[in-house]
Amino acid sequence: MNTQSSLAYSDHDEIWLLIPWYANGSLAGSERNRVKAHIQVCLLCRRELSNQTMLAKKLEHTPRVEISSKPSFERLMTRIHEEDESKSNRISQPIVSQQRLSRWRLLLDEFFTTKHMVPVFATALLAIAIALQFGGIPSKGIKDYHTVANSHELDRFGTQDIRVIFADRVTEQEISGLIGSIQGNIVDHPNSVSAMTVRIPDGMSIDHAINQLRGSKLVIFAEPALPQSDKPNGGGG
Amino acid sequence: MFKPHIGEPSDNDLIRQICESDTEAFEVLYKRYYPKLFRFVFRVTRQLDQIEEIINDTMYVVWRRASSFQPDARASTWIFGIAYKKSLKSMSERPTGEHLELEEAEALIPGVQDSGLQNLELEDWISVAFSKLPADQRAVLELTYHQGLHYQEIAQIMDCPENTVKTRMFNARKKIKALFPEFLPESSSDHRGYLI
Repeated sequence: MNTQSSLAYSDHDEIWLLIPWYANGSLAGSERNRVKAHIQVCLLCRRELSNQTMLAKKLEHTPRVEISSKPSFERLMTRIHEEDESKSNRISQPIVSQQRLSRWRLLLDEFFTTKHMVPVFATALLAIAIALQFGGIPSKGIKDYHTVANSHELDRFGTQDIRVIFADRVTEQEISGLIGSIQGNIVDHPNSVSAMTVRIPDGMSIDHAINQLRGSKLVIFAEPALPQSDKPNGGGG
Repeated sequence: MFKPHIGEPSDNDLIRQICESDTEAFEVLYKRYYPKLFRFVFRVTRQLDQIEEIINDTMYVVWRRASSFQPDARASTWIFGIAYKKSLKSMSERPTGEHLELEEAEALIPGVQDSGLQNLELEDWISVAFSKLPADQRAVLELTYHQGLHYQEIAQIMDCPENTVKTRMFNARKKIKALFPEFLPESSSDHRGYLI
């Protein structure tokens, strides 16, 4: 083996990788010369070059596919035109919207000058005030509302029964004294609104007893437990 | 590669005209590249029913981005590069092994002539070999042996280092030899040559 041959052989692995491009004729200049020199001294690479040349020829001679490009091209152009159109629509739509908006602004500017706005605001304020005055029923009051004469309790009471609400901070002794003054007995303890029911003896005038109770500063409210329809109501305490 | 006939505009001339929205120039370029892209996309994807879509996606980019093309670059490198990316994208979106049969595919491809497509798929033992290779190796083989490109240009198209192109080709050759030992005999297991 001479020196030149040794040099040509030394880069066998690198040349081996380049053989396909030597076979397809795309190598040029020094690269091409290197491969050429190596092939002259390397039997293996010469065989490989033969194989690769055969492969290249086989690939080159693969029958051409006769396919008309026209329908595909037309489809592509349709796609492009449609996209262009939708793009131009998207651009023009905001312009139309802006034009409409500015037209409305002009109308508003024309009709709603300061001169016109004062009565408009005044009317609006008045409407709000009316709504607050008549429409504002607090829902909490309805929910918590109680009465001392619930209709479903009336069956329990008799004609000699009085419903009494005492003032705040009244002692038990004072209550007993007041009830005793009308010879009454407690028949129903204070309910949720602090109204208790006191029964006076039969034959005793209920109006008298109520008036006596109402005469005390310790009594806030005194009324017959049953409605008295046959005679005028004596009024609340 | 892709040298136009005398009197015909070059690829770069056409792209320059496409920049000015010249649809006629675009049609000329489309017709020029359609068969090449058809073959290349088929070799890479092996999905007959996707070819037209991939070609049109590729040429759509050419139409829209013609102004971004560097005039001193090779149009074919640019166009094949786009086609390669679109092919990989299409393959990634489709489950592996989902291929149409020839008869089904022919109905989908407009203007196809039976003999040509069947020759491409069936009469060519290389098609069998291609089917056993991964897409990147198929692309290197096709660009080298059918398109006649240098590995540097292939690296640009595939957007990878030159050594990667060489390695892919090396592996493809090895696999083809293993598949068809009678056609391409394996000379040595470690590819070490010897002097004569």
